[in-house]
Amino acid sequence: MIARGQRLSPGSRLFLAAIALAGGAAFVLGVTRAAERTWAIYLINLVFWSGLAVTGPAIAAMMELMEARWSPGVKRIALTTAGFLPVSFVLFLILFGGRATLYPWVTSPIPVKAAWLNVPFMATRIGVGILVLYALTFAFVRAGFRQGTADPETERRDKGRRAALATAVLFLYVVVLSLFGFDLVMSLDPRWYSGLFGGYFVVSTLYAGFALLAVLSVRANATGLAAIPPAAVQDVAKLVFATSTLWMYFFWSQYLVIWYGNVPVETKFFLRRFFVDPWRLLAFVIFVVGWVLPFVYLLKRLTGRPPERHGPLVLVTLLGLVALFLERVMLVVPSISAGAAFPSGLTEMLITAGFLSLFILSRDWFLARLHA
Amino acid sequence: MRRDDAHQPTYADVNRDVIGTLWTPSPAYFGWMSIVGLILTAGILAWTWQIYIGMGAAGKRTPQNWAMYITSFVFWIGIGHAGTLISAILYLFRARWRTSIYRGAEAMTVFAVMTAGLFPLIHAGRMWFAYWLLPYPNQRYLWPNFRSPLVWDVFAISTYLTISVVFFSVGLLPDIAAIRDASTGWKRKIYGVLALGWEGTDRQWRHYRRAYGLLAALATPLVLSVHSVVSWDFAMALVPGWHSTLFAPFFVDGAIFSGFAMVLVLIIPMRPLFNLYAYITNRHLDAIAKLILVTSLVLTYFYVCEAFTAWYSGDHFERASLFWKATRNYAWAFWLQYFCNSLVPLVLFSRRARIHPPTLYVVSILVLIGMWFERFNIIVPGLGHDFYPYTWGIYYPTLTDTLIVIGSFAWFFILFLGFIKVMPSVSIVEVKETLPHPLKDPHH
Repeated sequence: MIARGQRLSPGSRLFLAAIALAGGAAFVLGVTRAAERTWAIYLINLVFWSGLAVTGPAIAAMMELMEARWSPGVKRIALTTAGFLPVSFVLFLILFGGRATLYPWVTSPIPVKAAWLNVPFMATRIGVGILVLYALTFAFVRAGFRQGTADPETERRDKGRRAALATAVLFLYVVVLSLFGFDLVMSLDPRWYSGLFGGYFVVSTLYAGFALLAVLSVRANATGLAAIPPAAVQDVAKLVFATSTLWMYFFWSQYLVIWYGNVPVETKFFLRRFFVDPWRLLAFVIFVVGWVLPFVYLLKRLTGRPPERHGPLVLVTLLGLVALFLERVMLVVPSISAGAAFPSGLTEMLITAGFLSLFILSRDWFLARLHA
Repeated sequence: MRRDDAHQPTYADVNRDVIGTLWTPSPAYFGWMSIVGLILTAGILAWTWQIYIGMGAAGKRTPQNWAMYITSFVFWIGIGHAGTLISAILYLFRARWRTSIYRGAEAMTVFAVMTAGLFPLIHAGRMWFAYWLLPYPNQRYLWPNFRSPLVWDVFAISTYLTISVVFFSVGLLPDIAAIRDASTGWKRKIYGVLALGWEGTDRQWRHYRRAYGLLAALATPLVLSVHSVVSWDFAMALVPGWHSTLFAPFFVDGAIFSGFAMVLVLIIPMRPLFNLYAYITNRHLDAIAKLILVTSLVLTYFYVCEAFTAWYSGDHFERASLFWKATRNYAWAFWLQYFCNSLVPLVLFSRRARIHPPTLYVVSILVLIGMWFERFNIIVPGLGHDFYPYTWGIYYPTLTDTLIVIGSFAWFFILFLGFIKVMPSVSIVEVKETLPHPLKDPHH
């Protein structure tokens, strides 16, 4: 059960709201002055934070279907990231304004791919996909929080409903996240393609989701929001290990085939990112911080008694989240402009901080509504 | 005793029931052995004929030189996957339902990989030169290309076979000791040697547990690596329909899918044959069926991505290859694959189907057919319609290669049938671990 009254302090909320506003202002100014860079960082943040928001309930849906009983507390913590979904939907509507800046095929259609890469179809499939996914996710989240509060007969009925909703959420999760990969990111460079890119996007987002869940579980214990036993935290750590390794496996499955095949239309994607600075250095940082460090640390946690202190786990998973954010940067920015610099300007920082603030505030709002 | 009305077995029941499967075989068992033996004999005769006549007897001609043999090789390697998944990954994740089925699945893994290993030999033709396939250093100029994925295959599969055999053998030790203690005469001597001096002391158990955990950790990455490497035999080539980044996870998922189907094909008849209802329960069938359903859905996702990418690439050859597969000579095989692998498993959404053995059996057989044809559709139509019309070609199976492929199934089943009569097909030790400890005085 999630305890009552562990919300952010008014001061913190005000501070985060101010940052979110500053991020919004930076975005408006950026769009008028450096549209390409601004829309790029907007897209990166949008897919990253929206992915995180929807992955929490998707993890809870997996636990529901597998009848996982190892920690009801973890499942409830996972549901709380849904708070960002309404915000995410609005932010997706705003993304429509950047279509011509981000996607070259909007202004110069590619005839052979025009049946897929056209604005009405893409806007419809992404829009409808998100709308239905978010609506079902909210229904599942509501049903999830009702669990354990009703009489046995209602509980039995609810269980079937939760299972049906969980199945639908997971199905749509994979479809919509794959569309994020194929449509929102891969089509930034409409000539390049990789059949696994959609799956890669799903797996990397799952890794981010489990990493966030580990952080939130430990934090929920620290603030008294929930009482999650060390064994359950250990299990989350194992799943972070599994998804991080799966992420690297999906990356390697693409990289090796493309490197070995040496077909120019495919290799140009990696040439830009692994052989030209600053992306070469960034790729190395992502590899070490996002996979090597978590692998080395979490391997230790696969066996043995779960520790009582989780500081190293929080550090490693936070680093993993940072690496995954940087990975999104590396996927998006070089596709938009071959000579683009790493997006480290004030505008980009403020927009990113704004998204982070919105994510925290919306989750806080959601927790408050939960206890209202 | 039927499972549905069975009580929870005691430690003594486990010993009696499991060791009881090893004693004198029934007439039904001999009947099955005879049928399988006859089919195997036909397969061996066909292979002998092929060696005598040459590879032309198997219908091998350009561009269809891989045809059914490499299809079957990939199929059997795939079958071996479920064993490692059940043994290693489910062990690490503490899924206790695995205890009564993992032994059969491990045996299946070892025998499937042994069956797969036959095909490169059969395919190579002059199998007495099979040692040329080994990647030893280059002095004889027989192994010039270490960069070929085919060499990676040799390493990946031999590693997989080694770890699987060791894992299987280590897991058997306490059970062999239990059989030794229940046997007399020459059987006791043989099981005594095989038990390697196992006495069940605390020290032995401590070492055993540590070794088993380490082997599970070692075997886990192999679940991903083996079939990924097999997939790269194809994906590294630039053949339309083969050169795809999807192939590694796509192959791994398909392998697990078909492996679980084969597990069901093996354990469903074992329940009535050896009266194992108390150990292989509906819960086990339900869990395996769920895994088949999930892997089928993931496989369907990959099918969609594969077709989408072929079209989205805009590449004329990729599109033509897909169109040709779906509409021309091999269209029946193409659509059969989708029917068996994507549509049929959907019945497993129903819980009633998941615990109904006849339904499960039919689904499993269809999945195995579908997965064999999936590999066929990659290899045969893939090679039959690549870049240049002058290299296009249709493959027609002959009696020789058909009998050899059918014989490989007989070889697999004869190994398995032999195994279940000399070794316990359910783990005595691990099943006991899931039961309440016996009390000196059960009334207190």
